[in-house]
Amino acid sequence: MIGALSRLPATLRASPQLALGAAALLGWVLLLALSGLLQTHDPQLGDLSERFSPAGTAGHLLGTDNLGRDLWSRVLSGLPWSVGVATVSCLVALLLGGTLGMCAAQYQGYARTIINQLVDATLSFPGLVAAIIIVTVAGRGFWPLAITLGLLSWPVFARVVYAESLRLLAQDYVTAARVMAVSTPRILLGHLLPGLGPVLAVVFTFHFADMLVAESALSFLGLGAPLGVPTWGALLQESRDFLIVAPWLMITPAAAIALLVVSIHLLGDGLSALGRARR
Amino acid sequence: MSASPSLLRIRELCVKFPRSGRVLHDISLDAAEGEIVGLVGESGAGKSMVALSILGLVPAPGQISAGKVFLQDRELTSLDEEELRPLRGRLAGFVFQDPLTSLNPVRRIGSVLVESAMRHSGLPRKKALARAVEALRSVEIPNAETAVRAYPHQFSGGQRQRIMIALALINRPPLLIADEPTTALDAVVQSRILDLLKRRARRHTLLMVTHDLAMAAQFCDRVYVMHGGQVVEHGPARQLFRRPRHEYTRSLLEALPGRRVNGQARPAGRKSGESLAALRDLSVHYRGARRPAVDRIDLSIHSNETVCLVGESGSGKTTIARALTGVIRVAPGQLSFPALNQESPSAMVRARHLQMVFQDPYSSLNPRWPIKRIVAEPIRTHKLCARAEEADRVAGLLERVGLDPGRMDRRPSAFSGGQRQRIALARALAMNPRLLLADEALSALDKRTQARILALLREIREERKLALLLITHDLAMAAEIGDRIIVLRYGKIVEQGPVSTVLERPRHPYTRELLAAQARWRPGRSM
Repeated sequence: MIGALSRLPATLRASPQLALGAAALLGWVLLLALSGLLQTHDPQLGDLSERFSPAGTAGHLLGTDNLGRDLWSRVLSGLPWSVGVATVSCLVALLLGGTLGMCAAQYQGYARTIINQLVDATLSFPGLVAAIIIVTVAGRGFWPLAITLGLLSWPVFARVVYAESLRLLAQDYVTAARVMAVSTPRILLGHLLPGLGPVLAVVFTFHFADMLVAESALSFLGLGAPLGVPTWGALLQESRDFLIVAPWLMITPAAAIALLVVSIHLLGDGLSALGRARR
Repeated sequence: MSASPSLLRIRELCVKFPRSGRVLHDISLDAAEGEIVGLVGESGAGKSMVALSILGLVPAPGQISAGKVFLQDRELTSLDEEELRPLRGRLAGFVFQDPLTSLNPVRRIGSVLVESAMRHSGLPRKKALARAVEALRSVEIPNAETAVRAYPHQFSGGQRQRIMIALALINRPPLLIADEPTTALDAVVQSRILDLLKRRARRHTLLMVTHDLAMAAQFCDRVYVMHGGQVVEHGPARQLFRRPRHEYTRSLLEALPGRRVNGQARPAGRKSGESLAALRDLSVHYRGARRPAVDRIDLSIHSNETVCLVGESGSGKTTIARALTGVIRVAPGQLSFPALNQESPSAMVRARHLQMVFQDPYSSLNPRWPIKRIVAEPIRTHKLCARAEEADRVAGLLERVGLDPGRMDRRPSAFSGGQRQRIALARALAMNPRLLLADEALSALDKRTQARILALLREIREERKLALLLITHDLAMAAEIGDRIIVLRYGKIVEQGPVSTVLERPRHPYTRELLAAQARWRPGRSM
């Protein structure tokens, strides 16, 4: 770990993409940490006399909405929610998909067949219908949404982990460990898991971006965040009615989503280029 | 020097890389018309760099810093890239080591040949096609007319190397440069390719780059020996082989298997003891394969003996190793370990009884682990000592295989192929097994490293009373270290017996073919 940190400056110099992605991510992390401090107004409290102020109005950097609420503060207050949902859903998908993918590669036979069927079933199930059902049953909220997204998207991890595990398990050092009678869990944890690291890092970043978009999409459809929470998808949905009179209401959250997704993709591209260079 | 005029003259050539400094120092070399010149040395000696620099192909950022190269009296180092490119195909043909990667898999071989003939010899398409067919015929590819429409994957490794030779010769260049052209091929195919090169070389000058000194001595007219970017010795091949002057050449020659066989043969009449592992009627059939990988094999390895399993790729050698180590399951009764006195020993017991060293030193060590942890893996798995003593144990093992224990915190990437094989050996010895399997454990190493590891294996064998099962395609090595030899072909044992009997009086025609293929280009031993 310390070795990796000491190599960091050299690594960043070698890959401008990774450096750019990391810098952008650092910016987002700062915004996230300081989102409470940076809000200039109460995101929920409007001043009707200032409704529909365009972006750039004094006191309202990004303008105001139909109730005169400050858009900059609303976008900022939606950030933790959006990032939180994406993180949790990614972790759920990683844990579930990663475990199943590793098991399929290690045990082959029936285990692989069953897991493959599960992957196909999940992929062919219409996500939107599943989301509607779950939200109807469990209600809107952070955890139902995050776990739903995770449960619908784990096949991505299962597929990638399965393929990479097959490659790693065929390496001679794994065979050597088997010849030495090292137990299967120890092979999986000691040899396989560390080897999966680089691939998982790359898939995780891309999947994180997908989850951000998915959360926004579900919130836009009214299936995500509870009413009143200004997630970016919810902001987009509210902006729809005022598209002609106040286009900035749509442009701002859309641009925020796009920027965050692009910076995470940059990071992912950088990581995967790094992985290729190492191999 | 040769009486006929020099076709290729290299004078005091130096190649420099900005970071590592000079890699070639004052190389001078002559090759006359129709002559076969060998350039011999270990990997990293700079042989390939000489071959590449003749036509200005030194990989960037390296550059030729001094010296001159004359080919047919034309000075080449002063020409720039634009002037050199049209000359390359016409002046010299290249044959590289790996026939699997040097042909583009998505192009028909005819189109590659035709393109080269059109571009460099300026032939119209029809004539170029005729030339391509003729070139394939000259390298003895069957049905040359239809072969031009085939893709590389439709040919065997040996045939692909023939196609590479055809491609190198299609523009009838005066010089042919072959860089380890037969290293990737097995013995029988290698011998045929060398025969072909020898026949074709009469009309060309051949510069043969190889690490195989014995082959060079037999194959070449003159040999240049390279070491550390310098030519340390050169002269007529036979003379150099019989009376090497430079110390390095001598050490290379001594490393050749077979040279020491008389001096260090094992004391005869050693009694072999109880049976450590026995295969009875072993048959393994992989799903989807046309024939079984091994077919009714009977085999027993006794304590304190060295058994060599010889055969070409696909003969079932590795399958036997996998069955013995338990990597693949076999039907009950086909595998037993009489010395253990147990009906079906557990994996843990079996692991302490028998260990294995693998062929590829690059994939048999986890690249993420420091070697301390690699060697300690069996110790921890089998709780062979307390955690506190672990480091001492590992250090002792590393020292035993000739490695500096001070480097045990480094990862495998910090070690050379030979050193990695030593680490793998230390790991296998950590459990103190009675039987050690080595699956082509030396074939990825160069001859000198091979000899050193072989000597180490022999020492450890005597010291620990270890039984060895060596899987190899190299008969000379089997002759040197083995007590008993088993020849496999297509999953069946075709011949077995004491090493001296099998090698001196082979009964099976396949064994004879193997022996002939290896002896053809390697003098100096009486097999």
